Amino acid sequence: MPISLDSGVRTEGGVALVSVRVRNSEPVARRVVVENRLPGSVFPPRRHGVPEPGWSSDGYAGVVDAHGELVLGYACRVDGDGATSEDEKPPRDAPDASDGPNPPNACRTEEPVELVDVSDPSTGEADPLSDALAGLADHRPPPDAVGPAGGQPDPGGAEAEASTAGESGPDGSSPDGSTPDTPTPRESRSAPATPPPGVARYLEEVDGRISRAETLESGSVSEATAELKGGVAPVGLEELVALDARALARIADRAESLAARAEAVDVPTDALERLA
Amino acid sequence: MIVAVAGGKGGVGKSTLAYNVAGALDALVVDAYLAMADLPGGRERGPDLHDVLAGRATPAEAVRPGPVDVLPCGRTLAGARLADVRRLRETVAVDGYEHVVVDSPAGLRVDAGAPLAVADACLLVASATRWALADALAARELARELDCGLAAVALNRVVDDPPVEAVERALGAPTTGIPADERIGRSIAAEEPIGTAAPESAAARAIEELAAAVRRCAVA
Repeated sequence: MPISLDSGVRTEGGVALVSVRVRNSEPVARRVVVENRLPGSVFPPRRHGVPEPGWSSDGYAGVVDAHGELVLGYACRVDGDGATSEDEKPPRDAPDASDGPNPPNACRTEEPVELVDVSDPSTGEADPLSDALAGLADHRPPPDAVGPAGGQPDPGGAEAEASTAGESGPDGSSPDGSTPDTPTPRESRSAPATPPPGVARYLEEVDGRISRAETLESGSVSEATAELKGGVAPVGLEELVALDARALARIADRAESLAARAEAVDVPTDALERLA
Repeated sequence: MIVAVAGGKGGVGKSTLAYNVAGALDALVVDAYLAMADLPGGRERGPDLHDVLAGRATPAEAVRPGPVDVLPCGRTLAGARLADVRRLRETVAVDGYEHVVVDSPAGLRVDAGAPLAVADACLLVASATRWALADALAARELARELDCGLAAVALNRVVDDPPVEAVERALGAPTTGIPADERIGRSIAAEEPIGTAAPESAAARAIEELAAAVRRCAVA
């Protein structure tokens, strides 16, 4: 097999650290796609908080040079109670211990990663736009700046100028025969379905606190010591995580009810347009 | 051919150059400053880039014909928030134009990267100062990362002899100094590209040189 894959996993504190080595014995560069097979999404390597190019929530796509190798590493949260991560342990120990001579194709399905595609890099599915979206920071203004109506900038304050532009921009487009735009309801339909940055930030923060608490609970002595040296006060952390748990439960309820209302609502656009 | 006009830094004259190069190429210029529209037209009636990226209008509907045809960007934060950059590739491929010039915002965020990602080549704009070169290098790295070739570099608003050869060596692309000329500065507001306002001027010749570099790339 001209492309071979070695992988190893080490689990610490409910997080699997996966190392992958892809070797290319062909005299031409090959594009490879490697997918995570552990239960849990991939936490790719990041620089300044931004995932490195080529990574997605499923794995990695990139090019291995001719006669070259690609060395990758990522983290994957496998649930701490062990049912799933236990299954992964036997194959994981072998490559870890023996640093190389393990057969790459012998038990691929039990490996933490799988080589799912090998192709010619020049004709491959390389998509710079996806790379830009995956690799660069979001450019969109924060939702708070947009106003509670979702599509209607809040008139007044810093938004005054934008709001006057809004009146003559999207609102005024019906007379010339093009698609009429009433910003609020229609825009939300095409809004990218990613959580707003504020929500994502909050979830990241909570994630960090819970991870630290989990490390103190079930991590190794050295990890727990490192956390304690890093200034984590166990009592304070416990209280914070308890507060997080209550807040998350409330948010989940509210999100569920809002989602149900959003699904159920049907704005009578045609009737309103006739009325206008 | 899709050409992105880029540069690491704001305020170096990317939009003005984009407008004038589009004039020289008889091209459409797309204002891709999603959050801070830079070319006129976005306040007028009719759909704009935000509407196209949100799937509410076709690119052709959003084009404002003029001495240089412009696809303007909206000026609302709500529009910027709802614009889906994934539609940019289809958006800039407007029928009827051999060349489309995409005026890209400064910085290293998605709105700066997406035009480079969908373009066949880019023009980098930098001011003719030593420290501006670092920004241009950063922009070239981003373009390279996104598989966007470098057609030419413009050293904008030069007064003295610009360090053309040094920049050519550093960035590895033909470099043109654009003389400071207030008619270029006024061109967007006056809706009159330099090629029309003063076709014999040194500035118009420099713009034509950039346009020629783009045409060469298109042939290659």
